[in-house]
Amino acid sequence: MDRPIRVVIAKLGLDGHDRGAKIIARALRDAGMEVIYTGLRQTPENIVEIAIQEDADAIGLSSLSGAHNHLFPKVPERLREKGAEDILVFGGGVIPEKDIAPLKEAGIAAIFTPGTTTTSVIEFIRENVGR
Amino acid sequence: MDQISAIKSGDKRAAAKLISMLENNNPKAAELLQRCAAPSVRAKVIGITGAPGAGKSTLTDQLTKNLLKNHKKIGIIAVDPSSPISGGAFLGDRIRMSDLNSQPDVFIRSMATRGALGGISKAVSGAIRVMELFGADYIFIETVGIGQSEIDVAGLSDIVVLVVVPGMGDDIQAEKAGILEVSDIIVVNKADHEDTNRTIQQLKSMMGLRMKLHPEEPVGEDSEIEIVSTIATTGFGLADLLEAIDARQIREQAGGLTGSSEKRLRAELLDLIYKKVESEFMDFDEKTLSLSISVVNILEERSNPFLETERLLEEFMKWRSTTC
Repeated sequence: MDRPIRVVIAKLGLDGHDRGAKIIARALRDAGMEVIYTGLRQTPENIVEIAIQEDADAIGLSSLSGAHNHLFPKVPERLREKGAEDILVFGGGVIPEKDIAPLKEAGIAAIFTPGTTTTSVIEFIRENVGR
Repeated sequence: MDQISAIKSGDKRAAAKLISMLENNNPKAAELLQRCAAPSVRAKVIGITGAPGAGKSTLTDQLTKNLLKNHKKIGIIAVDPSSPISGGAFLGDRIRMSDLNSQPDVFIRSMATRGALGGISKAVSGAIRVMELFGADYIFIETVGIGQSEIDVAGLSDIVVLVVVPGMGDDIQAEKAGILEVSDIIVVNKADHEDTNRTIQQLKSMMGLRMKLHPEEPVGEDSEIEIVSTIATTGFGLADLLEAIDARQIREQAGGLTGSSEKRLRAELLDLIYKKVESEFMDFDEKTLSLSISVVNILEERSNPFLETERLLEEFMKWRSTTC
């Protein structure tokens, strides 16, 4: 059935830099998706709870503070605990090359670093949401 | 466990999935809901409407926190507009309700209007049913907030709360919107603003004028719209607002209760009928391509839209009586 893809865009932890998250949110909206924007300072538990209540197809995490290795993996972990591991998780922000492989290992389906075009994020979501 | 039992036992994922099915016009959703008996106790549905930035989300957040203290279960339906160009939407009401995200007794659902006018989404009445199955005692419907097309919420709510802020727009704006006529309680939020008293006075004089123009309407307590001033960010006036909501509720119950429940059921039934007719008509069109034939007829100037409407309806009724 043709229906808008629903994506939660979230900022984890104490990171207050939300410009990137807002740009992605806007781009996804313009691509016909319904974006649920959580606002700042969310915990992994909160983000998973939001994604469940909103019946989201995907969660996008944004980090510019360097805490991604610590915070990102907790989201897929929590999704598994809640039996909601079918929800796609992707991340973006200032993330060093060497961190990408372990994050993918931990269940983050893709990491988008500075310079990524919004088109490639949109395409990735369209191709990978489970439906 | 089936989906309905799961929702009744408090499974938020099952509830969220059913709301999505309703939003996507999945016929299975109606089938599921048909099979469950009507809940004996219906939730109190409170519509929250008002201009963007008036403080609807923050007020909903504060009201919910207050009700949680009394061990109530709360459902929140927050509607934001879909882009008419892309069909996408930016749903941002949760930003102001961050503390409620992980509350076990709160279920929040953001909804895009998906082309519906009137300030709410077409799936809201279904979502109310789902939240009632989930066990919600109170359901808040937060409208889009464009300000001048928000009256659809009135049909689905027991109580409509209009949120205004001092110094924003004059009294004519509110009069134009028609929203004053369907409001039960007016909240003057951000009441630490210097224009607060003036705004309250303007609202009062507008309501006084209404009474003079419509003397046949009941006077006294029943017709009175309560005005409450609040500062949602600090919680100031919230107790007064809750009291006003309860008082309204008690007054209605004393009056035989039927008023708002009847109104809600009427709106819900009409809504379901529209949806059903629309989807059946689409089926009919898919099988017969009648709409395209009509369009060609009109384009080639053999007919006009008014004639074609009659013809289409006749054909549709015939088709329906043979297939159903």
